Amino acid sequence: MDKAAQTLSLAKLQAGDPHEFAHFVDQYSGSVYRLALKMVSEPQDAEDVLQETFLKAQRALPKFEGRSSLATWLYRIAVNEALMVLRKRRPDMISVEEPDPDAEEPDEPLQIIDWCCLPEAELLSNEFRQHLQAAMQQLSPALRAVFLLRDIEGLSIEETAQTLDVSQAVVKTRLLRARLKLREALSEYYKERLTERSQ
Amino acid sequence: MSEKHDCGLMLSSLVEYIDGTLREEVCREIERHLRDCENCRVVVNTLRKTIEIYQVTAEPDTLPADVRQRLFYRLELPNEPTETNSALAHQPGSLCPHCHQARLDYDGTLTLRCPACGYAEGGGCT
Repeated sequence: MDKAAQTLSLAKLQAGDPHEFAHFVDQYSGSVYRLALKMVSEPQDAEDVLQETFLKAQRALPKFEGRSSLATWLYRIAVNEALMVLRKRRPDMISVEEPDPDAEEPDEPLQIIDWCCLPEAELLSNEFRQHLQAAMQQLSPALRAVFLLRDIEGLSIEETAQTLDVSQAVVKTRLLRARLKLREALSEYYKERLTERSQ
Repeated sequence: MSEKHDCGLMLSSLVEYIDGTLREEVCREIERHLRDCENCRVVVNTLRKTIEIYQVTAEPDTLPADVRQRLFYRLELPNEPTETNSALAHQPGSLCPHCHQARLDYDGTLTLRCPACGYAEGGGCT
């Protein structure tokens, strides 16, 4: 994303040049929409997050100080917007500062099933994709955001930390927990498939 | 070092180990442990596979054309075609995006077609 950002003129963006802002939107909107979709799950909510993110960016660009890259700055707005949507949906469940996703030690792996070599065709079934999505939604928003930024959008640990305004140590802890939880969920899925096959 | 302790070290260093950012001496220690501990080997392999599966099955980061259109409208931006959406944004008279030799025109079935190379887009029927 930063490579793409180099072709943009920050001066023009900050001066409110609509064509430059249109380029900016085209460069980043796909990633922001994908992130939003994974964060909030519902396409309509994801579109709201997308629109609000760029509206806020449009208003705030003149004050952008360049302390982080444009990409991490934009992701930060997007994650905050997604958290707002989730909070509105479940005000009792979501707080800005998660009910301490970093307090516990990472869960120890429970499922020790080697499913690495199962056929790739399994990965393409609708049932499996639904399971992937469900497992993602089972993560707390704080863990989900870290996994999406680091492992799907490809941000570094440092950029992820900047985006979420937490330390790199916190990012690593959350990333480990998110990865392990998703691994457990997939192991459960494969365990059921293997059991079905052996019956 | 006991095996239990080694499993704990493996778990605490798992993010850096998977991402390839671990200090070399710790990395060697973990690899030594992985040779002897089948459970940890399974965890590492399936964890790598988990990340890979999510990456492989992630949607492409291209915006659906209708979502982009509504976004540009909301932002009051000029809705110019981009490389990613241009295939659906041509009008009769647009230069063919395929051969750049002729102009597109409707062929009677709501399909924009290039008279030079036959490139077609749109159309309500198959």
